[in-house]
Amino acid sequence: MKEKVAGAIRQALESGRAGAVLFLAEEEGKLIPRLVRDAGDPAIERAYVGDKRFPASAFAAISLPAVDGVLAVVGRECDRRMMNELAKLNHLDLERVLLLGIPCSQELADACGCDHPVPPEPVAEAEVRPAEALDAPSRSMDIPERLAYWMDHFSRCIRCYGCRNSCPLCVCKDCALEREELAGKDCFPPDIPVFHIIRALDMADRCIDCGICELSCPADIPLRELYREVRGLFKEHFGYEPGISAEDRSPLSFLGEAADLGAHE
Amino acid sequence: MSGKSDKGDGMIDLIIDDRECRAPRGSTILEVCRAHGIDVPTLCYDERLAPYGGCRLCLVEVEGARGLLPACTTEAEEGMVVRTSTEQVESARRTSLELLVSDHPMACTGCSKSGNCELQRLAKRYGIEESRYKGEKHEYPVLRDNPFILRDYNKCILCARCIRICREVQGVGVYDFVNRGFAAVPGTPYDRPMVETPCEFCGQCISTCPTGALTARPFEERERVWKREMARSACAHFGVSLDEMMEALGVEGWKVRTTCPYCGCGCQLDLSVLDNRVVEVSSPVMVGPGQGNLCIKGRFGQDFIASSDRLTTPLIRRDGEFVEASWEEAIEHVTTRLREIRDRSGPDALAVLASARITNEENYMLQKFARAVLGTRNIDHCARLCHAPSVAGLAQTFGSGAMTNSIDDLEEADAVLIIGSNTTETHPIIALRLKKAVMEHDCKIIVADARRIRMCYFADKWLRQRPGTDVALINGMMNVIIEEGLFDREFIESRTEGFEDLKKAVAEYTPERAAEITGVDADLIREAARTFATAERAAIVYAMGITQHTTGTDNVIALADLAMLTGNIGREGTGVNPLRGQNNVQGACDMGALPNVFSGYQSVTDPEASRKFARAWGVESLPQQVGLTVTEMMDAALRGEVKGMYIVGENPMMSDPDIRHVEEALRSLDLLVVQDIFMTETARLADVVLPAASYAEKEGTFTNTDRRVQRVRKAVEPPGDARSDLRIIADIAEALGYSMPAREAEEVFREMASLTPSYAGITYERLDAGETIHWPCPEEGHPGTPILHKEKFTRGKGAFIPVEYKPPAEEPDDRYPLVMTTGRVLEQYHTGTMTRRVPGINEIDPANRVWISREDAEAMGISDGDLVRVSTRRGDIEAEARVTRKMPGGLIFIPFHYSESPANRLTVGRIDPVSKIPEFKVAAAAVSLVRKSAGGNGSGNGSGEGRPGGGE
Repeated sequence: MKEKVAGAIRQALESGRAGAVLFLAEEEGKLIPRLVRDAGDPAIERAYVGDKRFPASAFAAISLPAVDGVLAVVGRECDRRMMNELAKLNHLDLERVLLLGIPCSQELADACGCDHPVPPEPVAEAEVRPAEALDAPSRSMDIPERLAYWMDHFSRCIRCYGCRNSCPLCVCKDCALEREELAGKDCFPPDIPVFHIIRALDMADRCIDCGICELSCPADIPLRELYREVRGLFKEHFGYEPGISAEDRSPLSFLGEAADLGAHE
Repeated sequence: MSGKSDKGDGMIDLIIDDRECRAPRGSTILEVCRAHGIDVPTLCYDERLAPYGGCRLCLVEVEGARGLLPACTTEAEEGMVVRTSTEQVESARRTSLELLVSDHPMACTGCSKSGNCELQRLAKRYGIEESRYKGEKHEYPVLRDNPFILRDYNKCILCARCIRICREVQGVGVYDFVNRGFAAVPGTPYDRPMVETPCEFCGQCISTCPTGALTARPFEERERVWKREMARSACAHFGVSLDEMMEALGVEGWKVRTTCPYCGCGCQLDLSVLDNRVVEVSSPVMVGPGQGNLCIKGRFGQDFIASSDRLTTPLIRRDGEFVEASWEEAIEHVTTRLREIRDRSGPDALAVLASARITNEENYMLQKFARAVLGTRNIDHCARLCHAPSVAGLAQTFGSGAMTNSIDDLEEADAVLIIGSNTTETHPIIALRLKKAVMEHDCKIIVADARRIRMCYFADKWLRQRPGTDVALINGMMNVIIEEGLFDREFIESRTEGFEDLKKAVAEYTPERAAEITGVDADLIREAARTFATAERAAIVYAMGITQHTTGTDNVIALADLAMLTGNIGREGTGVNPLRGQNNVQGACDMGALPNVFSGYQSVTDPEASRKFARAWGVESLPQQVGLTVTEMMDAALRGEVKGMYIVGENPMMSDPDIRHVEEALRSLDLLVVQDIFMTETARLADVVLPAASYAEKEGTFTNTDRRVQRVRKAVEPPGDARSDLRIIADIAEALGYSMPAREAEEVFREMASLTPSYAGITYERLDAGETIHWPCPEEGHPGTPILHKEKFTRGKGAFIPVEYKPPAEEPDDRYPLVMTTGRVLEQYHTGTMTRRVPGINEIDPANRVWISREDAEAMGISDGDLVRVSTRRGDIEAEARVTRKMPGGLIFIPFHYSESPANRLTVGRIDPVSKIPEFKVAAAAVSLVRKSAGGNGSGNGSGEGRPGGGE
């Protein structure tokens, strides 16, 4: 796998398909993203293909202005979905990025409860089955129980904003979570459950379930479960699932064709 | 351990981690380690501060010593054997860190300091994610009691760096530890909001804070920068610094090193850029004049770059209204009209105002444009309004009109005469050096100023002379020095001429007579003279309070005489140091944006120089007469002699005296072209407005007040269609049929250096390699000249020139009984075009205020905050009164930054006959009450004394 990924990086640079490649490298026992512009760069040998992930699309958005031409990114299916969403938010030009897709391991897929562990046209084939969805303890609870469940989790929040800050798709300049009138000021835990519900709703049409938020949360709040539930509702009511394609627009991002504002004047 | 004697060279040898290390005697172990690349972790250390020994992370093992010693406070000694990372040392460090982490929120992914946090870095290095020590944690409220500094003491590790930098570097002391034991935390007196403390909002505390306890609100709260937050959060995941992360992502250039665009200190800035926006400003520690320190304007005043008010497209006035135009149209329009005027009325009917704000390259190009392309002799800029007397006065006495010494060596002075300079507000970073000299080696400061300025708190003596009486004061001091035999006979004999004339002239100025004129006690004049003359190294620092008088040149000459009389020239910590007010006013003068000289002060009347420049510029000949000055241009415009003006980056409608007169002059022109970054008061009168790039949007160099040539680098793209001044000028020149082959900044610099002896050895290559170069630098290998007149004066011998006291142009009378003086305040800058577009600054300094003494206010029934009208023979303005004991009776002060009540509507147009500088500093004025303030006390802070430090 490692050789194939290194080979794909070199090939992308040598063929001129990409002006630079971004991947995760293993250096002195530490992982760090690495951008290379030269097929002879020794960092390519250190390309990492293990189970640790990084939000490749957000890093691509940071690197892209410094790259001439196309930026190839070594990433997974969820990175492809992130890129689609970032493109819809006008933060990434899909014409200038290219995914060198790698499959996830079975263990990673199972741990994520991921039904899409293999990206289209991966640089290396792998036998990975889509995983079973993860348990959602809250789903089987009745409403008062469910409220108590979430309130208990939310009460641990220290309002560090780690969930938002690490999220590759939380891109707003003006953030509702910082609005005093919506989320209180500097109080921790924040005025619950408003804080987390605002974010859950904002993520409903863009979260692609990469899980970086939950990884970042120092209070171990099961954020993926929360966002998955909201996303599930969104899919149920609107038939929309973020990330799958770059063309589908979120039902929240445009007015329906039938909308007739004139009727309200 | 007893130190063995060194080998006579002041160096010692010791062994650290089995390596032989050599270091100057007196170094601490930590300094030796750092100098030899041996990494010793620290948290309470900052090179700008005295060692503290508080964090216990730099503990090292010293053979023969009991226990572990802190490397930062232990002096290295000859023969010492030091080990920096034994098991015992590392274990002690680990324990210290765990104790710190036990009371620190380690949720780094959400912290704005992630990636720049010293605690995070060390915790990663020692593999500490959670502390073994569990105990009570602090829960402090997050403090947002001012627009700039956010304080979250939950993240504080009690290293005291904020407390120490505020006291040791800034000399203010806003913070100290409050409470004791577990409850100890940095705080303000009585927990007052920071706006009610003497805080000057320099942000030095933010720059030294090792954790996220102190952060900059403007960079964090204005709008979310998601890429920056992503990157910071990734730093926590991957355990690297933000700079390492950005480098890994291939965006090494995200931090752009450049030079601050405000005052003449020339502090170095690092602008962090994401998505074509400056998202953060910092200053590199121990680099440049500021050494990592900035003032409120430098650190927080860069918002104007991305202001929505920026000019983005050329504008042409049609039927009285501005209409947007393409560059082609605008250039066509400008060149046609320039040609018309030149053909009809001759080239001298055109005048160019260059700018102290734009780069050297642009100023050079402008004088070339004026002289070679337009063929006019009229080019000048606003140096006329600040240091023209310095150039004239010092050229006569020393032969060179610039600051004689460097900012760095001011620290070495044993005595400093600060006269007519409110240094802490107008040159805050130079003030830091002076405060350091006082605090570190008891330098004696003599302040001569009518106002009780902040520097008075650091002063040994304070002479409160009446405005406009400086010559009498200085002559009085020289009288004492000669009378008491305190002058430097050897220096006078070997280095100067004309001493006898001076002696004769100042004999008339006995302290008693000087006292009568100046209002300063005769004995105080005597004492000040003795302090200055007996100091081993005495420096003179001055600014507009000396120059902006009809006797400006005389004032400067008197100071030069005083320095020569006491032998205080050509050595470290001495000299005559005019502090230049704008980022590149020194450079604009050096580049020849003056009516009498080409670049490098080569006279336009010198046929040889004229031939040299004509040849280099490919023209037959150049105007060989001295052109008009700023002040003369306005008069000439009124007389119809100047018909077209081309103004770049200047705002005479705010900065020139008697602006009603300026307005009449500008309105009478046939053509006014203004090239600027904002629609200034002057641009509003223009026929054509051309949008220019700001300092952050172009390449070039600035020359700061101590003649240090420093790079300006492009960080972001100009907004809309705005273009660099260099390009605009070159395009117009070419449209006028002149070929400008050198169009890029570096090419222009090279051309300029080849024609300018004092810059001849300076190249971009040297500057980009990090060299500090003060001109003169005559050839490539020359290190530059931080101190002028070392062996001999530029003119050979220094010339004593006696000067006599002359009263100001306008003196108080029955109708206008007060003296009005003008100047700047710390928070604002000049005509306000930039700082008044910075939200935080306008929160703490929203409007103009007239400073008035308590006794005058009482006599007129005026209280603090009342609306008053100030009138002079030129006009009147309204503003709030600020009643303060900082003012003496009979004097009022009005800052000139505020377009809604412009001080220069009141000032006098009378000029110094030599340098043509107007007398901004003295006008006769009357104050009357318009309306009592509604709430008893006025806006601001409830009292005219305001914050004891800032806004003074």
